[in-house]
Amino acid sequence: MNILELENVTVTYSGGKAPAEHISFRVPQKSIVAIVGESGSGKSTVLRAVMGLLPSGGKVAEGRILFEGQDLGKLSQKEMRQIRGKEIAMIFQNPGDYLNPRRKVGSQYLETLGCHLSLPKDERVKLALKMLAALKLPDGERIMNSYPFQLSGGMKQRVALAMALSLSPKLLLADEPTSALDVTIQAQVVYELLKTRQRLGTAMVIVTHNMGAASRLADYIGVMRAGKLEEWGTRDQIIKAPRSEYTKGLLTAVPTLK
Amino acid sequence: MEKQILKLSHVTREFELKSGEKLRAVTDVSLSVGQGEFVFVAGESGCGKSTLVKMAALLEPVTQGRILFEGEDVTGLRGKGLRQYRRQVQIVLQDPENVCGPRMKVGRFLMEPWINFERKSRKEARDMALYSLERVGLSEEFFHRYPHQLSGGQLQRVSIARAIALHPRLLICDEATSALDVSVQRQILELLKEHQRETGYGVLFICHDLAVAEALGTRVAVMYLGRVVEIMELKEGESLKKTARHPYTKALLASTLSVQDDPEELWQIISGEPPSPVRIPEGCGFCERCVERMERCQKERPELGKVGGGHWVACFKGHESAAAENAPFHD
Repeated sequence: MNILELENVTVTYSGGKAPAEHISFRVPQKSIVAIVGESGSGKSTVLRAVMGLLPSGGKVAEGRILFEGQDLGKLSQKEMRQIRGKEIAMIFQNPGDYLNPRRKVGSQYLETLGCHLSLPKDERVKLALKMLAALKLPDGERIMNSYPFQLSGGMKQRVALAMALSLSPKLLLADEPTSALDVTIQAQVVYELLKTRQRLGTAMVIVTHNMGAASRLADYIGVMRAGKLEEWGTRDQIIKAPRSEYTKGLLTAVPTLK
Repeated sequence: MEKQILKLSHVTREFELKSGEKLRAVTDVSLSVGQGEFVFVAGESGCGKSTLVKMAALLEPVTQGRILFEGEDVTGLRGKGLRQYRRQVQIVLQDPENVCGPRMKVGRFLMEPWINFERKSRKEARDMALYSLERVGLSEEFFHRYPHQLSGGQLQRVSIARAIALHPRLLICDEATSALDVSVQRQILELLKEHQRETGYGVLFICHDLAVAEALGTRVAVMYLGRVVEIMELKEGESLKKTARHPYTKALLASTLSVQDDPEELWQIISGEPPSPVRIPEGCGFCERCVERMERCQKERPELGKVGGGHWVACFKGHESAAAENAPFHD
């Protein structure tokens, strides 16, 4: 059984716009899928639809989203809350956007864990420190004791990743996880994602416009264009033998080092 | 020998913080841009590249050092001289949203330089503005729109259109294409190159993507913790990976994710992050994270030493491996 399946999913916003139409693809267990495309292609919308985090007015107008065979559209808000965070976790492009700037990292981290795990505080602290160390963040205690603004972009993103992975989700959704980061930090985060999949067997759907990152991470790649899935294939198929002219264009537009 | 348009000579920019500590964003950097040259400045967040180009654009004061424009000292220029400088040296910044006033239509924004600097009539300015839009691949309808009605990429194109409209002698770009989609990035970079072929202006381009620098640059300067650690001249078809000697440059190149890579092959990851510019360490700034460090590197800071034609490196290992000449750096 696939961990995630989208069957002919169309998302609409109020006003009739359809940022994503007739999207179908499957994410096998423990695989990494990259959804690539340019701005406005609808790739982020697809991710948010899976997570149930569409902006107000947005809804899945057509089709089904199946998580482990279960139709997410049929779940109540309460049931969805159980899944969100624990079974399906999500990280975004700018971790600074969703880490509360007025609270220390530790406080937010422990709260997140507390929502899903009924562990005493000191157990949660241990878990948090273990995850931070696993992501090569030095001095976890200092990080827990810091405010988000005291951390660099790369560190914040890894903290976000640590938080997302702490509950051992089966599926991780990542919306442009490396775009706001420096080259060397991007490389570190990509490496951590691969290691995570190896260690925990977490499946991932990663939205990115960085073809290089997609090529490194993905087992499967979906190319989105103007709300539709232009092409879908294995990493090798898309990178080495793309069928669509658009995909070919995307690949050649990126200069690569000699 | 190309005509030198801009010369930054041993420039330093120091900020004094409320705590009394000093933050050195840029330390002792010398860099020049000649006619027809496309000089890339690469480096990661906090390396000082943005501050450096803002100093070049006279948007940031210089704590130490001098800036020369076509041979004349323009450091600390004010008034009429500064206005003339602005006409000759245009800068395109990273956040296009903040450039065009939100209440000004795009057309008006593009007409301004013609009216202010060239004293053109409104009709002539309008024609030039429409032509500018066309050059950056935007249709006439954008003339009548407000900034909030354009995407980030479109705004950036408008910003560039305005900057090149008056054929400045030097164009400075601070990550001007990073926020654009790849296909648009390519278009814009080609436009800038083409424009350079036509007008011979110099370009100082900040870009974190070394692949872009390799494809388009004539020279690449790599910065780390406020200093230039390597400068390379690039000939057509030359590979940065084969040329680079500084361990940081090599690490940057090796970390770059590319569709060409074999996903099974490991690639280099340098751990950690740069030290804080408030507490610049003694010795080489990169020492802590350097795979090739020697004992000497912790106490002594390597100066830029020549290792080849137009190639300078600030690294003891780098000097050794090329039997560097003992000549002081000049650019």
